[in-house]
Amino acid sequence: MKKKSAIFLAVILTLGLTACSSKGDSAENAGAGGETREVSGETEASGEAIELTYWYWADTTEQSDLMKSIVAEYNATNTMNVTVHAEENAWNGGAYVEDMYVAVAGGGGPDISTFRISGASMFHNGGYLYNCTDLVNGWEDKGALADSIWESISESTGTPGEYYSVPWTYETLYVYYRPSMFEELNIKVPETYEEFMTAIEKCTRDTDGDGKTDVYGLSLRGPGGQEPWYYWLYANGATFDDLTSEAAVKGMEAYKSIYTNGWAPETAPTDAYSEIMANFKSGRAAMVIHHVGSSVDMTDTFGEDVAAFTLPASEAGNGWDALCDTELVIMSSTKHPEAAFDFAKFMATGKGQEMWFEGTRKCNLNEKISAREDFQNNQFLKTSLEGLDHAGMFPFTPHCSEFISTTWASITQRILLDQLSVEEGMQEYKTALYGE
Amino acid sequence: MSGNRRRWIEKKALWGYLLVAPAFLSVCLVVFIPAAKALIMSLQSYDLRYGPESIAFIGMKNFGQIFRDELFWSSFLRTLLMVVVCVSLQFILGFALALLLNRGFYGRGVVRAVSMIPWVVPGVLVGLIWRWMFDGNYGVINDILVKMGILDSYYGFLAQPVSALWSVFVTYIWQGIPFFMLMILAGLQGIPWDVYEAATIDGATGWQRLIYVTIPSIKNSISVSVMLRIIWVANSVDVIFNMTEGGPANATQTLAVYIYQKAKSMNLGYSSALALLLMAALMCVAVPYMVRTFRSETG
Repeated sequence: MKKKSAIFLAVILTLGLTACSSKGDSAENAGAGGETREVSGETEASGEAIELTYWYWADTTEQSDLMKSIVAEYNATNTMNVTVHAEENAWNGGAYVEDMYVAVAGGGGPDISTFRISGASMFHNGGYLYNCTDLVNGWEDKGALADSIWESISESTGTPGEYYSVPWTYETLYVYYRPSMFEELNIKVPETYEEFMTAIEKCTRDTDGDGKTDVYGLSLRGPGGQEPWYYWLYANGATFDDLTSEAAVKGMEAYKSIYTNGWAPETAPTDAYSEIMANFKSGRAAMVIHHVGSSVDMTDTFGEDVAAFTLPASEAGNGWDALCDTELVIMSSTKHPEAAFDFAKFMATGKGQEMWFEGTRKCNLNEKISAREDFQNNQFLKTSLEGLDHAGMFPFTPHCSEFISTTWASITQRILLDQLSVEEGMQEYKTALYGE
Repeated sequence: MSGNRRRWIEKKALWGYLLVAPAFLSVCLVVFIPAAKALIMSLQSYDLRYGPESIAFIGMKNFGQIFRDELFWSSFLRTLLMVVVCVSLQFILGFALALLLNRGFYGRGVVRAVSMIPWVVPGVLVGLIWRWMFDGNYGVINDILVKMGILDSYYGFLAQPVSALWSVFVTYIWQGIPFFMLMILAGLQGIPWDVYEAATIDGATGWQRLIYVTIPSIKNSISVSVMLRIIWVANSVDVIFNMTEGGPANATQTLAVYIYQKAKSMNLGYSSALALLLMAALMCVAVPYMVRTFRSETG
């Protein structure tokens, strides 16, 4: 009996200590607030107080503050008597979308949230996204956003002509460099993939003559670096259709050579966003790949001595750039879809979009923003727009979100550290992205 | 009420059960129900990437898949290594520190308070602090080692598999020492001074006093703290995830991190099955301990 009691207590103790804490517990029920009436498909009664929960992520504390002020602006000025409660959640290396999925599947989550459409297929399969088609089609500013953007949004859920998200920001990746450094080394701004590789090699230098590299050509990104990685594959003639093709293997070998040739810091396999930015800003790396979201910070650091060029196509004409997107999605569980859409409109083409653009230089390229003088004269936005010609997104598979947040980094690290051959690695990428 | 009935109530201490009931119900609510849910999910194809309609009972398939999963075995062995290395060194260093702090010296209170800092810092922060300290481009550890002439140039501690794993171990050891120090110090302060006096009069050396007086007197404190620490280290995700995310190339991926990653990717059935296996492994530590404790308490 004593032994049984001991085992019983041990079970309780171990269970208690091993109980997994669920993430996203802070999520409040969608539609939280005094309003409980079902209004789906109906017009919200004006004047009635409505409360919405809004989730978002922010890359920096400045962006966090800015988002709060945007929400405060909406709360103060909207005519539907809506109060938006903004809740910031961690980007978590791309797992934001998955974290939200767990919260929503568990009956919680927000009414409206920032989103990446790489997760749209997964959310749509679960029936968690509100179909905004009628609201979008009746929106006077729909035409202010490019048709190609709306097509991408429809494509993300495999529902032609239907929209489950609203565009918030789009930008392409490009290469930040220091003009003074290029001038010193007599390097012209690369116009082809081949010239870009040569520039990376030339910029790798031992500046103090001690036999060790002090400046690396490129700060290669580990976790979160899947989009630049794909550029190398595409520039060598590969496509997403077959990640095990000869061209894909060649592209991966070129990508790996940046690390194995010592043109990137030794820490590259694990360098995340903050590390690659620190490398560039400290002068340890001559170039870094990121988007316009870093441009304000770069200008603050270097003043005039920072510029950008788009990821160039190869001499054979193979080019690809990542279209980095952020959308707004309304959850199907919300009790106030029209109020949530009103907030989405404010964010997409209203004052919210303007404020975000002014603070971060990120936008959804809508007509009003594109016509602004500070948009037209911004060299980084111009470079970002140049990349749109050959910009694309990862395939919308159910595995895409996991591929981005976890498996890509793990496979890449194993290839860079010679634990996997390039051929084996490409097979693993394929399996990870498309499933068995 | 008959005399027999009254005696039965007294015998079974019904009042005691009533008092325990709220605590027991709370445990059921926060431990047994989630655990039962995890057990059910482990027998299902609970992969939310494919939507809720894909959830179906699949029997032991998740477990079968786990035993064929190389990542499971490597994570499991790494967890075992981490527990052995980290808990052993935490214990040895914590014990030494407790012995030191049990002696009277000027400023002892301040030293005791400062010694607790690693334990009170949140795990997320511990991970981030050490990640930057070990950084291969700007880390203070590299700076010190280079200035001391131990390294020629900066080394990417967290970018290479072996050094990343040992960097994580160092972090865990640093974090766990105060816990052992505190538990053992509490035990040491409960040992009557006259026992040491008697041992000294009998001619026991310092080493003999440690082996034959100190350790037997605090063996319960030691076993409780070792058991708790084994369970905590084996379950820890926050430090590793913030330092390395389980990389590079899965080199620091322990079973708990693997469970977290699988759950994060929404394969909840598979991660539940992994969690149950981890729990079973930890039961191997907890059950013998509890049995032994009960035996010793009942003589």
